Amino acid sequence: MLLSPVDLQILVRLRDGLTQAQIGNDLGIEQPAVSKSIRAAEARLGLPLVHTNRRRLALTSVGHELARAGTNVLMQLQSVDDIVASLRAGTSGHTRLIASSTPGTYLLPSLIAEFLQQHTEAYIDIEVVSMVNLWDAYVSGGYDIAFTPRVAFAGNVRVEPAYVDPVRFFTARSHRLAGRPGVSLADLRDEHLVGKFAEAYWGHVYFDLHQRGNTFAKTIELSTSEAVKRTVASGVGIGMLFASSLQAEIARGDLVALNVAEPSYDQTYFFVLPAVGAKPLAEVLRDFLKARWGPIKGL
Amino acid sequence: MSALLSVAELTIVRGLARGKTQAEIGEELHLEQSTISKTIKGIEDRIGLAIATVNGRRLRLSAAGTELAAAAERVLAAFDELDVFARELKAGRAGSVRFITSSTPGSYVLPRIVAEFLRTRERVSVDMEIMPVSGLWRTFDNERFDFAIAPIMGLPPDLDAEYLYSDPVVFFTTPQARIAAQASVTVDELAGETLVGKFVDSHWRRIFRELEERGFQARRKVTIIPPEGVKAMVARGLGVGVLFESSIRTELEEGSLVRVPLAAPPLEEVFCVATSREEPLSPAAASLVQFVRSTLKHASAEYESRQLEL
Repeated sequence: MLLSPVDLQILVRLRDGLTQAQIGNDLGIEQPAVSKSIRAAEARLGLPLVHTNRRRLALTSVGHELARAGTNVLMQLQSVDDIVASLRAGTSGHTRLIASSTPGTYLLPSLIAEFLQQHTEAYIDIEVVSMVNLWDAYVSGGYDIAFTPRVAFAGNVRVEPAYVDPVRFFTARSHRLAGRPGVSLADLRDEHLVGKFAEAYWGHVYFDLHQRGNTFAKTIELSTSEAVKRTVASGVGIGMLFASSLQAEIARGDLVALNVAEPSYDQTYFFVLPAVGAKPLAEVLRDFLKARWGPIKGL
Repeated sequence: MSALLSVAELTIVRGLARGKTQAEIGEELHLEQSTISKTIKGIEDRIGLAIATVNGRRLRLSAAGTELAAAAERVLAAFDELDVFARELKAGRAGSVRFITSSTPGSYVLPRIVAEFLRTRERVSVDMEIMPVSGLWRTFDNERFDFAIAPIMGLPPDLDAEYLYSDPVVFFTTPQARIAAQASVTVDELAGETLVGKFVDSHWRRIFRELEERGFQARRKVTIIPPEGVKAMVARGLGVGVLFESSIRTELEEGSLVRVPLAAPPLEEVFCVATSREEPLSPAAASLVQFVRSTLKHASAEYESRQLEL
């Protein structure tokens, strides 16, 4: 390196018209050290950087050129401090989040958009994978934070409950049960039940309903939440999905949630972070999401 | 300046990001492996973040370490770029040159030369300021110029000057003018013509003093500043124009204007490169001056041999 950060500091201050004594004061070094540093830099470069102009030390043309270029280098160096400060505060940087499909599609995007609007220096990558693959992907993919239902958590991680998503029975607004103040499972007996029953969680729910003696005229098994909603909205039976995936359609009035008191099912999602050395930005994001959702009842 | 990380520390972080072992980084920086390890620990203590974790025999950067490494890459690249720039400055292949020049060289002599110079030096920029001689030296003193190219006459004593080229004074007229048909024109005959020129500039006043010392008295003098104005008036048939050869060379070569064959010792103006004694020329400025000098020498020899052939 031909010019050290101190050399550049001296050149920039000379350009700004400071005397050697003032520069020494600024940099916390003795005045002779300032002129020694200049002489050493001139020797390394093989170029004069300063000359005496009306008994005052002034930069040569080359000194001016290097002071100008050096300003940019010093700004880059300063940016390291800024980055460290941001990393400490968790307001900047880059973090990678992995989530299962329902929260990754319906729950997190709008909240993360809000977070990014508040933290303009932050970058977040969101990977949405099926629950079956989520844990392997988290472990091998170098993610900073996972948002997932309970799985067989392993390794040196911190698992914190984050959000509870209740299961909702819903139907089209033209359905005979829409608008009823209360609905029992017995009322659904003659209905087609539409859901993602091939997935383990929904398979368990269906099995539990069956164990409780609830039967349905027919079940329609679909693989995506969007397909379930569209089928039900077209007037076919009763759908069963997590509340988060229905918010928009219920708000618009395209679908109506049924008030089924018993039994109630829900899914608890967890934050998973490294037990040590978690990225500050990941922690700030977790805190932001927790603040948006509030405390989880019963936990 | 970064108070948190030194350039050496940033080099270590970059080394880790590039997958180097501590031993490899130490070798590169001429430091013991244990010093590298202590330095990493020191960085972590100072910034309050873990930057690396042990992964077999290597250290693996944490998420914060990866962010820091990206910043280190940028900073060290900026230092590398500065080194390249400094070397280019030294070689005269980079940098900016600012010079001031009087009207005739600035308009007729230097533009092509400067353009040629810049064609092969992408990282050099040139700022050429053209102004009349009357205010040139005051401006040179007040502002920051690497050098000046101007008539040597009137050069302030505190400047160094080197000869650059001589520009002959040319009396010219239209090919149809009566005086143009003469084999030789005396000073007395010239005095009978209307003279058109830039007679306000000090060097032109000096040139006319020289003529007057030889007994020349102009019947009528028309002063117009820009050489293009002088040429336009003469081209309309108004007498004889007086300009430096460099500013009339194109018209003389194409024959739209012709020399008046004055039977008198030639007059000329010497143009010089003037520099301040306080500051040496930057390599880029020195390189431009050298280029101007050698181009003018070559062009002048070529022009003179062409004139002899004609």
